[in-house]
Amino acid sequence: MTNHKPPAIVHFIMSIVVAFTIIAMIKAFAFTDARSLNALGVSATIALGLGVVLLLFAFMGLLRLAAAHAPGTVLPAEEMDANLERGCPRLYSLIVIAAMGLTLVFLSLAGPGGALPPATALVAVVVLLGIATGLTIALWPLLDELPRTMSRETGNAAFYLIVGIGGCWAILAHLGFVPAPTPLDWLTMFTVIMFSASFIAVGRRGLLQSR
Amino acid sequence: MENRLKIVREAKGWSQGELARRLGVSRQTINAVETDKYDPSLPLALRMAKLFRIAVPELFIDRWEPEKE
Repeated sequence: MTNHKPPAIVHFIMSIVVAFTIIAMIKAFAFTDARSLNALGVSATIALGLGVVLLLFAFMGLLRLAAAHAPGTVLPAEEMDANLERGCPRLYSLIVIAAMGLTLVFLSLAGPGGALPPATALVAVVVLLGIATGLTIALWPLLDELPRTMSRETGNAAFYLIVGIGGCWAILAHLGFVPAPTPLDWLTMFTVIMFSASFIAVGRRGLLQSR
Repeated sequence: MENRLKIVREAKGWSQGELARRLGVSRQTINAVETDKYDPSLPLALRMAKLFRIAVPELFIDRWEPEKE
């Protein structure tokens, strides 16, 4: 059995492709009552797409984690060990990712003219963010110094990316060259940047393969 | 930073997992140090040196030399 396995970035790209394919198919073929989906603007469509990407990414991670605990699994031995050793932190991380994805899905469907009433979306988002916050706090003591270092590096990189990308967008919008970012654009941008920063922090140490 | 962690670990006959357990860190951290992808904190470097009964500079090699006065 080969020990080569696709790095997390490959899973993430696969998730992006699958998620936007699903959304494009729903919009193109108007499955079910897709009128409200077709009425989504660009910001809501991108937020919805990213939300589905994160859900798929978390789902694939959960499948691999579950496989490590299942008898007769086909994962490489090294990955089995890693999944068993860091099972709890990985599970928490994947649930946080799924919660963030669901948050974006609820928000994108609850805008003006959306399919969800804003009050329902607000309750769902508060619950999801509560779960994500609680698990993130619970996760910290389970990490040793390497992931804690990478977490701090992610925060640093995310800050500069937000200042750079968000700042440039705000400048251009202020000067009238581009439309101003909507609140949903900011939320989508925060999420994209946080994950990009995470990949940068992990990738620059050459550890994407072992995640 | 270049280090001799893998050499001294193997000399003891320990696996990465065994060393990680003794130091109270994850195997991923040990692997990252050995493959020069992560420089450990000073407390962890001191613990490693104490565990192997060697000095930190014998474990982690820094080729920097101070200017001669």
